[in-house]
Amino acid sequence: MLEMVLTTGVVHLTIGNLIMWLIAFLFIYLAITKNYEPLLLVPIGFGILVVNLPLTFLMQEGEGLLWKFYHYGLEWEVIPPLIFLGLGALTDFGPMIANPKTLILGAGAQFGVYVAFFGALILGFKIPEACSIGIIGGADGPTTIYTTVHLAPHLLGATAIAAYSYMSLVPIIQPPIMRLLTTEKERKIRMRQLRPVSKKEKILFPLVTVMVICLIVPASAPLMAMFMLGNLFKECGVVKRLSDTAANELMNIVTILLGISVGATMSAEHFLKPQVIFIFIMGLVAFAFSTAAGILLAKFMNLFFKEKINPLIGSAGVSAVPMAARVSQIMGAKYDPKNFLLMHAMGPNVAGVIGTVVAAGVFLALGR
Amino acid sequence: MSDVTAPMAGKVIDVKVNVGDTVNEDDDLIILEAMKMEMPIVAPTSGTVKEIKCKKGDSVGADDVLVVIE
Amino acid sequence: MIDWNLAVKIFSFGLGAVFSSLAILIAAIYVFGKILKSIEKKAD
Repeated sequence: MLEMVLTTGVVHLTIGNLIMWLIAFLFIYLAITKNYEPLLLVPIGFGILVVNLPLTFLMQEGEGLLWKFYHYGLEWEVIPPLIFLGLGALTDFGPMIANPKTLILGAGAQFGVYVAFFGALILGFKIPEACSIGIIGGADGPTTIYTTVHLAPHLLGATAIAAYSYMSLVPIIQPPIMRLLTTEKERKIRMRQLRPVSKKEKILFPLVTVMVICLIVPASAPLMAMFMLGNLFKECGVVKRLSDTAANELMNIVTILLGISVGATMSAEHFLKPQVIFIFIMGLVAFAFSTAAGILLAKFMNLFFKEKINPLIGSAGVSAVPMAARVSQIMGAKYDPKNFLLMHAMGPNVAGVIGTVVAAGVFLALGR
Repeated sequence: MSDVTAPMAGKVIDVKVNVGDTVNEDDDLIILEAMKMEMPIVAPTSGTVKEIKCKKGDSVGADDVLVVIE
Repeated sequence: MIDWNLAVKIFSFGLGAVFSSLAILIAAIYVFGKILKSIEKKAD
């Protein structure tokens, strides 16, 4: 009789498991009722729930089902690059090609990555861990996951959740910083309508970009190559089937595997540690500094350029696409309803994605 | 007389005025959707709507004339 | 113990790579835009 009872999971439950159940339910609740990143939080929440059911051994090395998803999907680097393939097929680089100097704003907004990196070191994290925490400031989910799996896999649940939750909190985190750092006159700066970009330029862009970036930071190649391949699919116009699949079906499939694998890393014994709180704090610091750096850089550039940049698009350099660009548009329209910043903000926004991948490449090359 | 043009490519999801309507500056004329975001296109000046060159559901390009105000 | 030398190296090299790669990309976009324009002019 006792033996039979011991084979059930119930008697092996820990307090930690119960806390993780609550977190799982909270995620699923937020996804369903608040529509808060539902595509990720539903599978992540469910993954958290099932790995915290004792004796299921879903994450048992070499055996468990979710371990196989995690191992072959994330540790073998398959999933994040495939997500980048889909993102490439969804991204229009036109606004960036039309006004290339806004690319620099995407570089400036990586500043927070390094603030969080040093912050994490001061808090006592090791260098590979600090790299994984810093990259949260890039506001790019797949890049954060890719970097963490390589450098500090034990932190994966925390960094992934921090990156995705701050990405969806962009409309709350950014506006106060944007107001603080700009004058009303600056917020009303109108920017000239972007020139139309030819198809040839759009086709050449992914080819040139993959060469430039991979020559400078070879370690960024897996993400960059897939990102640009997806974009080439989209722009070349002759492989509509491939670009549709990359952007829709394939993206959905890998999102399922990504979500459940990330959730599965969050078992009570791995996740419930005080350092997780530090990771969340550092993530927020990184976001705030990235936002501020983008705005200040735009103001700095205005000292040199005759054609002024509205500094509100600087904050869009954090790569949360297109949330950050939307925030710029909303803020701009609030002070001048005839001002349309959305397309101008898309430039730094997509440049931010490239910037974050480059930063991640350097972390991967040196941060081991 | 002034043309109200589309600030960016997008889809017209609502037309808020009719020909002959009197509008004030900054009144909403058209709701345009781009990047899954709805944006009101407002009147540049006060006046009368002389012509509406788009309808609900149309896809418009940047600089296309949407409304003419007199 | 944290290797602060390595940390500073990662920081300077990282931020340098981010800015230089995007700056080179800007230059590349201008250059291929110019080249495309001149090719199109010749075609006309």
